Amino acid sequence: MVAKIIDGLNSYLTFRLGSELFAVNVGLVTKILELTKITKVPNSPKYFKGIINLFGDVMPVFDGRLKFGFQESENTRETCILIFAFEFDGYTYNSGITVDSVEKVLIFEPELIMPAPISDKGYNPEFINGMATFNNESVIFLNIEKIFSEEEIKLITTVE
Amino acid sequence: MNSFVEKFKVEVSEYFERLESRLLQLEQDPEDLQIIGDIFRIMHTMKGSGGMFGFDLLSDVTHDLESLFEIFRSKEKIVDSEVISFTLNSIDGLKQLMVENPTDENRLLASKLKSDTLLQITRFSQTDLNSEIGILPGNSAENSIEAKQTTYYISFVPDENILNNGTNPLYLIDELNALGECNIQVSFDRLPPLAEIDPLKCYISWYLFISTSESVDTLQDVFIFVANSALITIQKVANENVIHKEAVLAAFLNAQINEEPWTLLESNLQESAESNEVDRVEEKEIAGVLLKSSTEVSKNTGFTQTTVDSIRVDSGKIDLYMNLVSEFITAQSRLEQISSNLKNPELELVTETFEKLNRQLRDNAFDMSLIPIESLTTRLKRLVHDLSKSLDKEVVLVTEGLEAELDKNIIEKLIEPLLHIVRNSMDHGIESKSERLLKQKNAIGTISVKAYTVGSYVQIEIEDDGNGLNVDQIREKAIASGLISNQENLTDAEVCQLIFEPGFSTSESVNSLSGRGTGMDVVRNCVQSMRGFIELVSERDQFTRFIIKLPLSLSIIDGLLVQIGDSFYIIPSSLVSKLYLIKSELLKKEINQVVELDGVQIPYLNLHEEFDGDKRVPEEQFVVVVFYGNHFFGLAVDEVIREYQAAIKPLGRMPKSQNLFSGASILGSGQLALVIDTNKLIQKYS
Amino acid sequence: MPKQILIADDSESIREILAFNLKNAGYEVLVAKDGLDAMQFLDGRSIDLVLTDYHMPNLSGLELIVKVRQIEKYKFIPILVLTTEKQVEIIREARDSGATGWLLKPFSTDKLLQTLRKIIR
Repeated sequence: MVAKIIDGLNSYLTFRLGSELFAVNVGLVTKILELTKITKVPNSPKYFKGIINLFGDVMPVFDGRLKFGFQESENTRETCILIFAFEFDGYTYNSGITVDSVEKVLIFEPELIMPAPISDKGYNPEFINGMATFNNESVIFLNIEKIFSEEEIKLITTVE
Repeated sequence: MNSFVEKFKVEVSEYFERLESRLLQLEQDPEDLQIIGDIFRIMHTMKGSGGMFGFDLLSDVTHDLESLFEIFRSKEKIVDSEVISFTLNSIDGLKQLMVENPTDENRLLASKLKSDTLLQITRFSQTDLNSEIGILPGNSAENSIEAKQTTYYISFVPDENILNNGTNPLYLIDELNALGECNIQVSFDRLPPLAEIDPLKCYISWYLFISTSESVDTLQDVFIFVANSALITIQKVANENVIHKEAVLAAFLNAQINEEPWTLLESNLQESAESNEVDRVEEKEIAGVLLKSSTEVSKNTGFTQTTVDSIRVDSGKIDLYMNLVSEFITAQSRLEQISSNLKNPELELVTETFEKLNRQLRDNAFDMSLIPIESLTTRLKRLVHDLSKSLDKEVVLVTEGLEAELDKNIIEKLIEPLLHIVRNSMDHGIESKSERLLKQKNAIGTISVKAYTVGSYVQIEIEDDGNGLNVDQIREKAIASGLISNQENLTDAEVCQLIFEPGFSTSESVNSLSGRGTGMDVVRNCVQSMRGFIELVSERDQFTRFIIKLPLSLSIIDGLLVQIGDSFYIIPSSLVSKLYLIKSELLKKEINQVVELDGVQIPYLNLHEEFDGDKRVPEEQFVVVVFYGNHFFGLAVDEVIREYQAAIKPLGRMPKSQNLFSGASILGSGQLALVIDTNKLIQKYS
Repeated sequence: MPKQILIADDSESIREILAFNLKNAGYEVLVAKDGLDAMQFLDGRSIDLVLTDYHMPNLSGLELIVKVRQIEKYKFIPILVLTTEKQVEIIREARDSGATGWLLKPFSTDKLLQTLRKIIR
């Protein structure tokens, strides 16, 4: 079930991929898992890591770095799988993405979130709901449904 | 309220189907009174129920159709094929009338259906029709004087046994009392001596005057249930309220005793309603049907063919049940795993029992979700019937073994492919009558549909005795459209399968040959999507036979658990032909990858290389030979673990390019095993 | 105490709409999917009225009536037959089998309740 984003519930889970800090509304994240055994699916694109058994359900897991167009890197102890619930073509799907580390849940009032600037970093505005600043660092708010509805995406044209 | 309507709609669609199927049977055997009776009753039920749920148009039209079939039920006339076609078409019309808020268009359709039905009725009853229409006038004269009070005299002498029917005469008197002002006398004249009184009998009679503004029909209505078990007379005493005029009442009674006509009033207004009153009312209504009704209705003619004890269960609940059973199977394999690790004899015993129960539960769940393939035959028969007419070919549809059962989800998906195949056979397979005679074939073509269950899958064969495939033409065409090169040495059987190729039929304008293949790629895709496979066998001028093999269920399959590297995979058992254990060195990568097994050259794919890269190669490998189209294909794996009952889970949203696997199953260890879609796999690599 | 009515009809939709309307009118309702099924309810419990369809598999309406009348306890309970047959013969047949009355389908809820009041209070 997709938890509906309740008005006024401005909590966002932040996580890291490479040096970037990303945020998604907590309503969209159904689970945060430690890296578990991922069953490889032969003949798949590299950004697709495989499938996992999540309490009796089969769930596809994507490599966050590769899916977003970052460089591949080794898993660390901090690597996590975030499970998202999203709707596509009227169906609800659950899919996982590996991220380098999960930070914390932050509250951002809507007025703090600015439209993404089409600037030096070249974020693809299609996949981004906006940006904000936290502790002098940019936070990028992701449009999860859009991200999962496309195949390999170029989130950032110039990486790291 | 809406849920009733929904249920009713489901019921009606079943009625339609049954009607269609019975009508088609009737065409074969026009004088079978049992079939006619069935048709009549189904229409009857629809008429009655339709009205209850507000589908008045449905009710209206079936009412007339029922009248039409009454002619045949009463054996006055015999059904002809025009009536059958007409009725089938009317059913199509009726389907459109199944709307809760009819539009003008619906109403127009209904009245057209009604007038057409009337035409059919007229066709069968030209002579006696006119004389029967005449009885229609209603009783408006009586109704118009309702407003003012009238006084009636009613005598109600119940039969001694009236109580046996559960009637309480007192309630009837109460009801009269409610209709107007009454003056009631109770008579104990018939009361026997005390010793002879049977407490279960009614000895009392009632005589009463009633002054009411209700019509005499309403008064009769009070007695409608007891008209035959009581002596009832209703007479008009005066056109006003005379209930308190004792003299008038006494004069009336005196005239009765002396059997003089009661002259206080115009005698033409005198109403005498004896028990035949009910009959009169009934006849009036029947006149509305424009037909003399038959009076034969046998007692035991319920829908006897459906006497199976059954309940209707929402298909969603069945799906949920199947899901739970799948979960259960997954949990059980986990239990097995734990039990084999712990080596505790008691636990092993329980596990074994658990496994047995689980298997029974699975079979039971299967049973519930399986429905006979037969449920498709009406659609097929209808198609053959309709196309026979429009193509002017005479074709019989023969079925065999259609009691074989399949998962309802599969059956639903199977409808279109089967219709498509039969349509093709009708269009392009079966020759015209003259052509058949020229070939010294029976002028009547045959399409046969056979099914049988083999293990955990069902095989369905659709065969026509038409002109078969022209292999040379197909070969030419395939070469022309670039499907094959002219070097390729395909056997005739292999050439036939080319009509399933997507490029085959679209490459040329439609002619009789290309028509043959039109849409066959869609048919194959559909069958393959259900982990089934389809092939074709044909003999020029003799027959064309499609063979479809399908698993019994989509969610739980029997599979072969195999290992490649440290991953597990499942190959559906229904597709597995044979297993071979061979030395790995025989599987060297060559240009034309074939391996000789039992003296036969079989193309193969070494999954160890394809799936696992070049890690350590086992010395010996298993080759799982699977069906691929109508030939064999070998899949080399590291290890065959065992037969495995797999509850299949969907994979979720995969990358678009990934289609080699149709699902995954959770093993006892919690590990996942991918279910290989062998057709897609082989297509991709060969 | 509310009156208890036993409904026997092979059409699920009819059964349910009858049950719904009767419950709304304050009756207690038992539902059976055919005559045979209905017999199970005739186990000595108190039933005030039987509403039965005419055409039913397993045990038709008329057969059901005959059986009900054979049970001492239900010998005199009112039984209404639901039918669309307008022929007198059916009604006569029903009455001969022991039916108290009949209702011609389609009927409105009002008509149903009105007819019930004719035979039970």
